[in-house]
Amino acid sequence: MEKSRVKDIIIDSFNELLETEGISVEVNGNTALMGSDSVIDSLGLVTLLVDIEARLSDEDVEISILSEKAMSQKNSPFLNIESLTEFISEQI
Amino acid sequence: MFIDFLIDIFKNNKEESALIYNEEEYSYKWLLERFEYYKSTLSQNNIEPFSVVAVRSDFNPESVALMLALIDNGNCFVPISYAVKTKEEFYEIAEVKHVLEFKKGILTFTNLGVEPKHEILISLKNRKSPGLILFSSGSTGKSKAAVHDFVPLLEKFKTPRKALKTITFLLFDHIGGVNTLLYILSNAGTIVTVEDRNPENVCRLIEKYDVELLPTSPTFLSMVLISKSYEKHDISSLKIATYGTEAMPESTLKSFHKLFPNIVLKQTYGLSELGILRSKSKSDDSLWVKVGGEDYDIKIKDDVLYIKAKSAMLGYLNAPSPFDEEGWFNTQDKVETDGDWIKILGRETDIINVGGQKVYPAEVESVLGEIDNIDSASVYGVPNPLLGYVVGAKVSLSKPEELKELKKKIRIYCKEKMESFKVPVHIEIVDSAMVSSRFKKIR
Repeated sequence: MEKSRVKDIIIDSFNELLETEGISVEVNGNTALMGSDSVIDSLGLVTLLVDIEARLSDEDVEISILSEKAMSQKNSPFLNIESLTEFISEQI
Repeated sequence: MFIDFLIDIFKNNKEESALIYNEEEYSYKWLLERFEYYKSTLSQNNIEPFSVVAVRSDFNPESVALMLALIDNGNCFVPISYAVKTKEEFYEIAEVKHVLEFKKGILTFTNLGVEPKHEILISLKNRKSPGLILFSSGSTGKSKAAVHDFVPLLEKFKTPRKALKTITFLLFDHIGGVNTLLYILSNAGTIVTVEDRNPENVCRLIEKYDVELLPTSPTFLSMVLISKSYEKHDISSLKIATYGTEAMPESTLKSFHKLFPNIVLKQTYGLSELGILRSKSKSDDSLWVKVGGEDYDIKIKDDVLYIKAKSAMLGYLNAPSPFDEEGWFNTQDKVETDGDWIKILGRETDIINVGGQKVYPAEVESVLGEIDNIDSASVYGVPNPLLGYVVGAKVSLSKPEELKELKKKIRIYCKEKMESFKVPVHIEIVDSAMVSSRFKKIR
């Protein structure tokens, strides 16, 4: 799967989460997924990751994003949309 | 008179910081002055000693001083935080006479004119003891009101222990919050309160105030790990991190210990009915623990943990007593044993523990059942490395519907009806109603 496709899936999923949360912000590669700049909390992050996994699975890509590998990375993959795109693309 | 030992400690440590709130320091001298102020305010406003008093407030320095004045006045203290949506129901269950609430910083008084009728409240009043009423979630999801006698509860804080600078998220309408507060105050320590629980903010405050003790949850430790907030802030002042009994993934514990070998990791065990037990973890990266201490006896029957406490609650106001004739309390926690060590495996019930918050499947199932096109729903816990568990739901539909649309509809509807941790994260469509021949739901 192309990296750009992965990124589209993440952005789509994130936008939908924001819609259900009633939050409107502009979403791009630098949008934070955690930390003080993030608009979602840990539960939001988990919901997002589960949804992304389900969407990838719809396209026959089976991965578990919240793995021990994700936790032990030097730079957290959940920092922003760009870093998550990188991390997922590496797993596929 | 009930807290004279605390007042002596305050007097001997006037210049020390008791609380740090909104990054402002409040000394023991300040606390002493506010305590005296509230004592006279209570008497001017005719708050009778030993009456039941609810305080609607969040944890802040003023409410701490007010709580101490109420204990000293012998009142039965009922903390109701702003997060509570059903305050009227709670006032009724607790037979509250006076409601005290801070409005724009000014303390207001409302007399509801109720006199205690429940035998537990009457006996507390007759023996002239201050009390504490805490609401805990019951097995059906309905809150149970546990009444404690403050006298034995305070007793265990009379033994001096080491005071540590402690950061706390816990509200004081929670047994853990009350316990932490009294522990710190009785040892002239400092409490750093934090409202924004973002790992980055918490790590910043640990660095700023040289915090030594962090009572926390597995979820929070995982968030610290994946956010790498510890790289931006120096948290080397931390000596101990404690965590509750919610499902702690062993991987989180081990990763945290590897990064911070000098921080002692300790599992704690407490229940609103019994208070907080003293505990000792086998090692920093082990889930094996010894619980008990001088105030508690424990026994294990059929792999379930039973506890007998010196300072257990007197009883519930709105539920039958959970103690057997000999005073044993069934914790419903399944345990594994290895000599004196135990490993807590979790409740025998269907309760799903999402990052330390309890979710009752029945409640979520009933909300799902209200949604258009959903015939029936079955709710269960799905293990999650970050939160311990998250909520999953299997639903059967009246007519076919796109999963994507259905998920969106469920999320929007559930968000309106329930706190967000209860909203199903995993959603699956199944064919039939998931009811077996014995009409028992299959989760």
